[in-house]
Amino acid sequence: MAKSGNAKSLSEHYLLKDAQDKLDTITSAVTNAHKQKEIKLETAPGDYRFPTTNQSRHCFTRYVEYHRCVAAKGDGAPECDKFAKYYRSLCPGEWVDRWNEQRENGTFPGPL
Amino acid sequence: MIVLEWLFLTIAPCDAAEPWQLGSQDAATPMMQGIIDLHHDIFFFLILILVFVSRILVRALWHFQKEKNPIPQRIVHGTTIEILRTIFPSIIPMFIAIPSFALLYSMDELVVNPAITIKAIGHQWYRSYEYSDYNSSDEQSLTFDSYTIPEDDLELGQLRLLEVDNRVVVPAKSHLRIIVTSADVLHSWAVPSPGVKCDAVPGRLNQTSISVQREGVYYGQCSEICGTNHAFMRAPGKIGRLLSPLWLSRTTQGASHPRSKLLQRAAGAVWSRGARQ
Repeated sequence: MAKSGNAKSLSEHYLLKDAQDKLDTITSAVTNAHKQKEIKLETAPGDYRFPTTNQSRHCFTRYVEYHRCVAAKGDGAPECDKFAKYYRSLCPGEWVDRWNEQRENGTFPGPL
Repeated sequence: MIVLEWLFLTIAPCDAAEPWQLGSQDAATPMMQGIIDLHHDIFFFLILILVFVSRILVRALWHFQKEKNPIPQRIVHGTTIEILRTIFPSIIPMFIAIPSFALLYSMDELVVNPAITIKAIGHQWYRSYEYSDYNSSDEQSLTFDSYTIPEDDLELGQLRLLEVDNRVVVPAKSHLRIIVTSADVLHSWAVPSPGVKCDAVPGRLNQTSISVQREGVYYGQCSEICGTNHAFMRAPGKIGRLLSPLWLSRTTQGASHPRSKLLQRAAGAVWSRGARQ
């Protein structure tokens, strides 16, 4: 691996060229998102309620907390934003979509 | 400085398996360094026991046989040797257990403030990754699929069954939280160099954290039998590409690329957050 790496340029070796077009769509999407709002890179902090490897309940709790917060403070309340950020960081998109659907249908199993 | 760079930076660290490789791949995180050190520590005792037991065995076979010893001795009891062979074998596991548990629990430690969360979701037979730390709605997540490049499509220098089409790019020298889950069957997200292996269980989110200390391309494979293509292809490819803004600015191609600019910004944001810079 070392030898082939030396023979080619770094960018060639790490295949930056090939990867370009594949991620262009994603890049533009994120760039647009960036234009809308300055990206502040931070993620959900570790929570001492969930110290284990299994973080399923962490994600679920953050989702419930957000929706309880919205229910209490009203739609778009700025103090709920951090909960939204947390659950989006932790939960797979598929899970969030399913839960959103369940909430619309009134079949969400959590304490909202 | 130049001499030092020439001495050390020209050595490409081993971040993927090599033919006939016996040892571990080079460590990229303190955890992997700990694993390698523990392995060496245990090997010390292992060799010690091996030599001692072999010596007793060979000596017994050599001396106590029919030609040399026609009349066997009938010793049935010996207090000293019995005490010794009880005490020592119980002390040795203690010397192995202490560093082992120390390492195990330090891996389990809750990282209070990870810099970035990456979700790795296993599918049959590819992986999708989600970066959603900077979402402002549920639909905006940066999501992409990562497939192993088939053998016929490989270019010169690419590694068979390890190379993927879309690599995961993460910043170096910052705490990464990796959430591993699966959409269908059991998978396992494993990358040897950073010393991470985490089972992907459908319906459950497993968390693991790494802090990669050097930039590079790291290769990993699925480590849980997950169906036909696991057996045949071995790798539903999970590849971490970990780089820093420094590395990006060194390569012209990389620096001008919009994705790299994005990364530079992202990595800059991550770095300035911590006390690192």
